[in-house]
Amino acid sequence: MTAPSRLGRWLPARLWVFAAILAVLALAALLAPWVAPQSPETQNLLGRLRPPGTEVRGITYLLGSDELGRDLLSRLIYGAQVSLTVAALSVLVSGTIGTALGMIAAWSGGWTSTIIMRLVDIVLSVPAILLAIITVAILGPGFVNVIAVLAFTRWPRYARVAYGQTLGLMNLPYVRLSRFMGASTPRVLLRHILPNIIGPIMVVVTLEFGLMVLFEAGLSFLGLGVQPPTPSWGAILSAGRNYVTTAWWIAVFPGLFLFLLILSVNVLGDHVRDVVEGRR
Amino acid sequence: MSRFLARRLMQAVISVLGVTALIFFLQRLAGDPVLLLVSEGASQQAIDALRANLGFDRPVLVQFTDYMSDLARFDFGRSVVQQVPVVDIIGSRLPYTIWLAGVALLLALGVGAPLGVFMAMRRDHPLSRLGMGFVLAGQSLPTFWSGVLLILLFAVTLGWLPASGARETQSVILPAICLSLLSMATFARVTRTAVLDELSKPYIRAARAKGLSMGQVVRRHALRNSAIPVISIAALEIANLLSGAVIVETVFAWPGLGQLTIQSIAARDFPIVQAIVLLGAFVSIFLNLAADLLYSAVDPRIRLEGGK
Repeated sequence: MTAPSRLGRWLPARLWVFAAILAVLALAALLAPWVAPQSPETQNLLGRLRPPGTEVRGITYLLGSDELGRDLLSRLIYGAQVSLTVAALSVLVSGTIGTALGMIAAWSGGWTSTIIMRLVDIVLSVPAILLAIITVAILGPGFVNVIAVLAFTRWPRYARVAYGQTLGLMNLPYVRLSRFMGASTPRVLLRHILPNIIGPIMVVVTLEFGLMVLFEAGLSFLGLGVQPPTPSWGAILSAGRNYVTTAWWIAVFPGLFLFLLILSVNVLGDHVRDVVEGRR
Repeated sequence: MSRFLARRLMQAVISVLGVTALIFFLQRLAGDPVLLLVSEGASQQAIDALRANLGFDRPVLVQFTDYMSDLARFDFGRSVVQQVPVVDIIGSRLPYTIWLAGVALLLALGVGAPLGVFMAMRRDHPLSRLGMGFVLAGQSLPTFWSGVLLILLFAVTLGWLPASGARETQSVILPAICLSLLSMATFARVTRTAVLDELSKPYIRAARAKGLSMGQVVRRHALRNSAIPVISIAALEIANLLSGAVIVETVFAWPGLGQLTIQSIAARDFPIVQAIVLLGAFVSIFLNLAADLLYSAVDPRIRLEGGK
C-alpha cells in the first residue's frame, strides 16, 4: 500500500463521488450551449410527453420530453445554470453584505452595533421560507428579485459569525498596533480582520449554498421564482406534477438532479467545516 | 434564573415588535401598497377609492400606529378578495395545518429518536449505516420532490392512499410522511450524538463495571440525560414543520395555512399573506423562547451561565 496521495489527503476517497457530481453539474451549466442536445425552448408537438429514450424524427429524448415536446435533458442542463447562478450570486451578495455589517457592528460598537445586531435577530426570527415568500410577493418574481430576496433573507447568518469573530480579534496586539500606527478603519478591517475570519465565513457559505439551491427551486416550484420559459428545476418539477400519472419523468428527473446537487454540496460542506474547525 | 428569564423575554418582545415593523415597512418600501392589492388594469378611480378606503392616503406614521394598534387587538384586517375578516379565514384553515404538523411531529420523533438511540448503541450494525445514509439524504431532500415520489408510489402505482386533498382520514398520511422526513433525520442525528456523548462519560463506565447490561445502562441513565438536547430541538422542529407546510400543502393540495398563503399571493390578497407571515414569525419566536427556557429548566448549567 502506498501512502495516501496528496489528493487523497485533500479530499478523502469516499467524497470523490460527490465532488464528481458537483463538477459534472457545474460543467454542464457552464457549457450548456455545447453539451445540451437540443435548445431548451424548442417545442415539438409531435414529440410531446415521450418517455426517456424515445426517438422522434431523428431526435432522441434521453430523459424524455415534456408537455410541449421540449427535450427534458436539455432543459435540465440549462436549469442547472439557473440553479447554480442564483445560488452563487445570492451567497455572494448576502455573504458580502452580512460580513461587512457584522464587522462594522463589532468594530464600531454602541448604537450602530445594537441596531445592526437587533436587525439580525429580527430577520432571523421570521422563518426563512416565509420571509422569502412575502418579499417575493411584494417585489414580484424574476431572476434579479429572487437573488435580492435570498440575499435579504440570509445576510444575518454571515453577520452573526462575522460579528463574533471580529469581536474576538479586535483587541489582539497586532490589530491594536496597526490602529496605533495610523491605519484607517477600512484598512484594518480588510487587511487584518477579514483574512482571519474568512475561514468561519466560508463554513457558513458552504452550509448556505445548498440551502440557496433549495430555496430557489422551492420559490420556482411555487411559481415565485425565475419565470418561464427560462427552465428552472423547481418550475419544471411543478409543471410535471400535472402529468405525474402519464409522464412521471418530467417531475422525477428535475428533483433527482436537485437532490444530487444539494446532497453533494452538503457532504462536501461538512468536510470543509471539519477541515476549517480542525477536526481532521 | 429570573434575570436570564427577563432578558430572554425582553429579546422575544423586541423581536415581535421588530418583525411587525419590518413587514410593514417592507410593503411601503416596495412602492404603493395599493398596487399590490388591485388587479392589473384597474382604473385610476378604483385605485384611488381603494386607497382612501384602506387609509393608505394618510401619513405613513399614522398608518403605522394604526396598524400596530390593530394588531395588538388581533385585528388583521379584511381579506381584499373575500371581504371577510382575515382572522376568520385563518381560523378555518389553521386546524388542518396543526393536524398535519402534529402527525408529522409524532412521526418524526417516533421514528427519528429510536433510530438515533439504535445508531448510537450499535454503531457498526448495517442498519446504523443505513440510518446514517438516511440522515444525510433526509437533509438534502426537497419536500416537493419527495412528495411527488410518495404520490407516484403510494397513490398512482399502488393506489393505497389518496394523492391529495383532505377528504378522508388517511389523506393525512402521505403529506405527513413527506413533511416529517427532514425533522426525522434531524431527530435521528441529534439523538445519536446526544446518546453517544452520554455513553462516553465516566458514570456510564461505572454503571457498566457494576454489571449493568448495555441496554439497562442506556434505559436507566443515558436516555434521561440525552433527552435534553432532543427536547429543545423539538421546539425548533415544530417551527420548521409549520413553515415546511407551505410547500408540502401545495404539493398535496392540503387545505391548510400553507396552501392559503400561496393562493392568497396568486389572488393578490395581501392582508392574508401578511397575517400568515406575522403568525409564523410569532410562533417561531415563541418556540425559540420555549426551547431556551426548557433547556435552562432541565439543565442548571445553562441557567448559571445566563445569570452572570
